[in-house]
This record gives sequence, structure tokens and C-alpha cells, in this order.
Amino acid sequence: MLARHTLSSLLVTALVLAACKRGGAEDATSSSSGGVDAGGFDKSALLRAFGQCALDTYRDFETSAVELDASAARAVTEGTPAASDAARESWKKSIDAWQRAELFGFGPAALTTSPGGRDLRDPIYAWPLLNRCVIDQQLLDKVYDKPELATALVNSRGLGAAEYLLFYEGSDNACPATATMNSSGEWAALGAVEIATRKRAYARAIAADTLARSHELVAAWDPARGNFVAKLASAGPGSVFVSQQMAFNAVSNAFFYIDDFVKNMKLGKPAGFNPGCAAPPCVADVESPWAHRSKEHLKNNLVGFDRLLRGCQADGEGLGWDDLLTAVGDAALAKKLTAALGVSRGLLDALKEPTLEADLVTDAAGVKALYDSLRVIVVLLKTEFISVLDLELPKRVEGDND
Amino acid sequence: MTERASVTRPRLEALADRLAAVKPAGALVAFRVALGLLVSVSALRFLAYGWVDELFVKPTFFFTYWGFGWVKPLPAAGMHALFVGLAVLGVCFAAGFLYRAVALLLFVAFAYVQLLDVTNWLNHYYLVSLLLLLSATMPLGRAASVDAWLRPQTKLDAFPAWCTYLLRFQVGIVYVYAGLAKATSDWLLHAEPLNIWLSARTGMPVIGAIFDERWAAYAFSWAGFLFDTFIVAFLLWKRTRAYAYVVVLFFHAMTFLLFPIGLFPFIMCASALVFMSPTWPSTALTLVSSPRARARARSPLPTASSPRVHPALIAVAASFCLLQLLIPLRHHLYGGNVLWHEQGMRFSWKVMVREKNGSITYIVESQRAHRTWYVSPHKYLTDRQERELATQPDLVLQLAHRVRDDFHAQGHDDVTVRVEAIVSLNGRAGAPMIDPSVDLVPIEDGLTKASWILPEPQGPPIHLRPAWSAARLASRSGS
Repeated sequence: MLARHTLSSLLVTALVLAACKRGGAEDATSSSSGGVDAGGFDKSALLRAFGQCALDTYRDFETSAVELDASAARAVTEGTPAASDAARESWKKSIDAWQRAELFGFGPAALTTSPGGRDLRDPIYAWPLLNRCVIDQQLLDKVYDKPELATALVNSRGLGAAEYLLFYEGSDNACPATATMNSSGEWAALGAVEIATRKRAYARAIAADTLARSHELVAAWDPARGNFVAKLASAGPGSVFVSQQMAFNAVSNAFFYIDDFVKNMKLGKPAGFNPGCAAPPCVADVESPWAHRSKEHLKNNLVGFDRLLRGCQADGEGLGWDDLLTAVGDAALAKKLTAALGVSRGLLDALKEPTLEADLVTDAAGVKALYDSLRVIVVLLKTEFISVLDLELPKRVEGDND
Repeated sequence: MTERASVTRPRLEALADRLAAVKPAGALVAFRVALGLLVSVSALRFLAYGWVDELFVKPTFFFTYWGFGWVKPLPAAGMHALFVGLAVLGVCFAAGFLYRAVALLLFVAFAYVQLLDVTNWLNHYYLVSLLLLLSATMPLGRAASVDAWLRPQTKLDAFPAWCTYLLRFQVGIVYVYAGLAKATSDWLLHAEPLNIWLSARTGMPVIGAIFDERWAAYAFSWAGFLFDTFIVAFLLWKRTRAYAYVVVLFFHAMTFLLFPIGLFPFIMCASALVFMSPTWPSTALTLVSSPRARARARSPLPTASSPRVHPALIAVAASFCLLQLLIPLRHHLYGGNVLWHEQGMRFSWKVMVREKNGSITYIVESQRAHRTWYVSPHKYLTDRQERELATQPDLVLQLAHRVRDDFHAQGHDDVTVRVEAIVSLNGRAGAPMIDPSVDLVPIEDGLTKASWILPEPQGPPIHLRPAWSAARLASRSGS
């Protein structure tokens, strides 16, 4: 008798649970566009704000890519120093815009293994992946004149390669002397003028490719086309992001660009704080060794970080992580992050030399202070930020838990 | 003395008789099948999701258990083969094929996998290891099994009662200690970390709507505490057993829906089967079988006893039980908050009781080279390992020694290795977990209290307020 009760109880439970799950899925689908959760803080609106901010940032970049494409073309057709200078200035505007976009590595810009990822970041800017020897080899082979450029390794195209091609005026190459191009004398036979001409042509091809990529990226986010803004905002069952939490995790992962990329690779490595630099400073390890824009890159990265933290509009208006933190009751953390970011930006501005390379040599203490201030931000992110919002650190392998 | 002995002996004999009494085999057969299949499914999940590579092939550094530093992973092909083997062995275990050997082999293989890297520690894998070990000592393969089919003379219709008691004890320990682990101010008075976890799941269909409400966090916290602490009592009591098991199913279904805890709910639901009436499978079968089968099922229950259990074996079993009782309590010897210092945390059934995140940076200094390096654990670890490292001091110490060894190898044999370990427990502001002034180079891991671990931060955990308060107040004032 008792066992029969047990069985019937189990059956009822199973049916209830199954019904709940089905009903839940249907409810979620129908309400996924609603956005306002029970708490009244509109998490969907925040996700939409993140998406809109990404789109606006990419549009800025697209505008600059148009200018770069035009000026790189002029540099080829005119071949004058003035035209080359104009192309360089356009590259600076493009890379500035892109450095702000680096923080938005979620959705289509992310790797294809991420939700909605289409791997659109690396073809535009693959740093730290850059191989000067491969670029030189392709310059010799005139790959830039062939369709293969679009599928060439990302370490030989994008804005990183364009920097080398536009700013480095030497006629040497980075391949070993034993490489065929050197041992056969093919490279030497080109001559300085031809090398310069080919560099301009290569840069022009990259600018065109970068423009096409920027169109692709903007189209992916544009409400009139791919509308990834809506996909992000409508995170939930049946969507690209099966839950809002997964969407927030994706944005959070991109937010952590400030850790490995900014703190460690862009600053810590050339400053010699990280292992791998035998005799600090290792100025050759800066991000922008030819255009000497490493400091500007850092500044623009922090601008992108600020947009996610405080909001995308002027003076930090608009929805950002700080609004969510405040809404859930941790305004103190929002303030700490904002203050820490302010300190970092202030210390960066306080580096007086025209380039980071020079600062590394003349103001090691200032660079160290900047590095420490970035560590403060990262610690806040890895501890309180992750905890309070129950987020996960980037790239965690999924697994069982208890 | 003689009088006391004469009283004790009948008691021991009575105990031995009780342990040797037999119970119908059905419930434990069901348990065997469920456990074996879950082990198989678990192994297949590892293969299918690429976790074998992620957890055992990709890492270049493995954290070892104290005293088990000699356990090393196999090459990639070997690890894959091992998991295929686990899947096959799980099926054999479930089917009761070559049961004893398979059970022992399964335990050894499963335990080996768990011992490879501390960052893979999961309470429920530890439970599975223990259940496999216990099962290997029991004749669970002699009923409804391939072995019994191949060798009918060995077939049993009933198992000795001690099998049921031992398994019930083991599973009961898990629940009760998991409940007691929740008897903390954070859990009961501040509803943390449930408040954090639920607040992040407001987008969940149907019930997500209440997760921003503070009372929901309290309700879930107290429900979890009461469930874990007392469910065993209700499972043991015949009159409430059936209802209690329904509650078990409901509770674990909820945890499955709410949290990414993989097979844990299934393992616990399967484990709790040991509390059910020994005849429940046959009763269940009668509901769906033919009248003849029903008549067969109504055959009298076995009443005979199995051979009396040797006192030495009783002593071994009692020692095992005593260890299981004491090991989870050992953290009290260290004082402080075990959720913070983690000494005595593992093997203690502290299941899902904390939200803890940390940031670790090793600060390596060489006086001779006049250099200071900041070493990120990321250089050595996978992301998953790094997250586990960041909250567990003994792992921080292990990696510190690896960092030291690397610098020594580079010729910097005078380095000190300190660590900046900032940790947030249940949403509290980050605080140093390890004394940043201590050089970890000469410190060896051990069972004594670690003086280099700093005391936990004082004060309550974060109180996440309902996110609606500001908006609702605004709408009220607007109206």
C-alpha cells in the first residue's frame, strides 16, 4: 500500500515537473521580449544598452575605416609623402576607434565558440598575433593583389599589419637570412623604392579588407540587418543566449580585456613586471612599435571600459554595469570601480613623455603606479564584481559542480 | 569485569545477528543499476564534452592531494581510454557482470581520476568513490545480474542487512553534514549565498520572478538547511519514507534547474534509493506486470539469515563509519571559518555553501637581480584551475612552489615568492586571504594550522536588496 503511494507520488511529481518545465519554456519565449523582470530593474534594457553601445562604437570605427580606405587608396595613386602622411593619420583615427571597440568582444566579434560569435575581431585587429616575416613574405609574393588576402593568416593583415606597412620605412625584412626570400636574393632585388610601393599597395588592400569587415560587423549588430542588439537584449530560452546570465557573462568576459590584454600584455610585459623580459624595460614589446601609439591605445581601451562600466553616453550617462550594481545594492562597488578607473586614467595622463616607450625608460615609477592601479581594477573584478553578480570568469570550461 | 563482558557479548551477538539478517535484494539491485549507469553517463559526458582533454590533457600543472603527489595523469590516449573503460565498467557494474572485480576496478579507476587534480574536486564524485568502495565489499552482483544468470548456484534473492545499513549510513552522512554545514550566520541569518545566486537568475521562466525578493533567498536557505539536516530522519521512518523521497526528488529537481551542478542531483536521487523499502522494485513491477508475475511477486519474503558477520569485519566497518563521522568535523581543530581558510574543507560535505572568488598574483623578488616580477597563475593554469586556485590556500602554496622552481631553473635561486591573494566571500569586500609579507618558498604543506593564512574578514556578507525597490518607489511617488 505504502509502495503504491510512493509510486503514485513519484508519478505525480514527474508530471508536475515536466509540466512546469514545458510551461516555463513557453512562458519564457512569450515574455522574452518584455525585459522588465520582477525586480523592476530592466536587465534587458541594460543588455540592450550594452548592445547599442557596441553598435555605436563599431559605427565610429566604420566611419574611420571609410576614411582609412580612401586615404590608403590615395597614397597608392599619388605616391607622395603627403598622401602617405594622410594615410597614417587615418590609420591613427581608425586604430583609436578600434581600441575603444576592443572592450566589446562579445557577440559577432567573439570567437565562433562563443554565443553568437563570428570571429570578426581578429581580421580587423589580431594583436598580439602579428608576424612581420609573414607580412614581408606576402609582400614579396604580392598576396595583397590576390583573393587569398581575405583568407590569409590574421597575423598578416588587419590594422596591426597596416601599422607596420604604413609606418615602418626601412627596407629590410624580419625573416631569417636562411629564408628563401633572403638566400635567393629575391627580397634584395626588390629595392627600397619597390618595397615602399608594395607596402603602400599592401596597406591599401588591408584598408579595403578592414572596411569590408567593419561593414560586416556593423551589419551584424544593426537593428535593420543582423540586429544582434535585439538578440542580446532578448536573452532567454530559445535565444542565442539561453539566459540573461549567459549574456551578462559574455559582456563580463569582454570586460576582462583589461586584465590579460591591458594590464599584462600591453603594460606589464614591456615594463618587465611579467616574466619574459630579460632586462627591463622591454620597449620592443609595446603594442604599437612603429606608430608609437601604445599610450593612446591604453587610453582608448580605458574609454571602452568606461563605456561598459558607466554607460555609453557623454560623461558616463546611460546604462552600464554600475547601474546594475547599484540596483542590486552594491553601489559601493560601483563607486570603487569608477574611482579605480579614474585613478588609472589619471596616472596614464600623468605620463608625460610622448610615447609609452619613452615613459618606460624615464618614468618607471609612473608606469609602475599605473600598473598597480590596473591591478586594483582587476582585483575588484575578479572578487566582488564576479561574486555580487554571480558571474563567471572568462573562458571557464563547463563542467559538473557542487 | 566478567559480568560486563557477559552483558556485552549478547549485545554484540544480537548486533551480528541483526546485521546478518537478510532483506529482499530489490532496492539494492536498483541502487546498483542506477549507480553503475550514472558512472557510465558521467564518463560519456566527459568524453562527449571534451572534458577529458580540458581537465587531464590540456593542463600543464596538476594540483596534488597531500600524500598523493605520486598520482600522475596518463598520456592523452590513455586518459581517453580510461574514460571509455569507466563507461564500460559502469555498464558491467549495473548489469552485475563479473561484479566483484568490476566494482573494485571501477572504484580504483574512478578514485584515480579524482586524485589527479585537486581543482577537479567535487563532493559528489567523492561520494561516488565511497559508494563504489562500499559496493565492492557487498554481494550486490548476485541478484538480478548477469553473474547470477551465468552461475545460478550463486544467485541470491536477498542481501545481508548490513549492506543496506552501511549504504544508508554513508548517504545519511552526506545529507546531515551538508545540512550542518549550512548552520552558519551567513546562510541562515543573511541568506547568503542564495541571495546572490537567486538574484542572478531572475530571468528564469516562471519562478524567476520571485528571485529578486529577499524572502525568497531566506526561504530557499532555510528550506535547504532543513531538508539536508532532517531528510534522512524522514527517509528512515517508514511512515514518512515515501513522501520524503518525493521531497528528495523535488529538491534535487529544483537544484538541477537552478544551478549548473551536472549529475549531482541524479546521483543523490539514486543514492537515496537505499533508504527505500527493500521490496519497492518488486512492488513497482507488480503495477505494470502480468497477473502471473504479480502472483510470483507475492511469494513470501526471505527470512533466513546470511552467515554471521565476523567480528573483525564489524570492527572494520565500524572504523570506516567512525572515520566518516570524524573527518568532516576536523576543521574545528583549526578554528576560524573553514569557508575562508579551507583547512578541513574537503571530504566534509560542505556542498554549495559559499560564493567565493579571488584574485591571485605571485610577487617574486630577487635581491641579487634587483627585480620584482608579478606572475599571473594564468601562465600555469587553465581558467578553471585558476578559479579554483584563487580561493584555496593550499593550492596557492603548491603553485608558489612551482613558480619558485621555475625561477630557480632560470638561475634566480635567491627568489622569494609572496602572494597577493584577495578573496571575496559571499559578496563581502575583497580581503587578503594570505599574509602578503610571508615568503611561501620555505613553507611546506601539511595538516597543521597554517599560520600564513589570515583570519576571515569580519562583518556580514553583502545584502543584495530587491532590485525593484528604487523603481517601485519611484513609480509610487510618480502616481
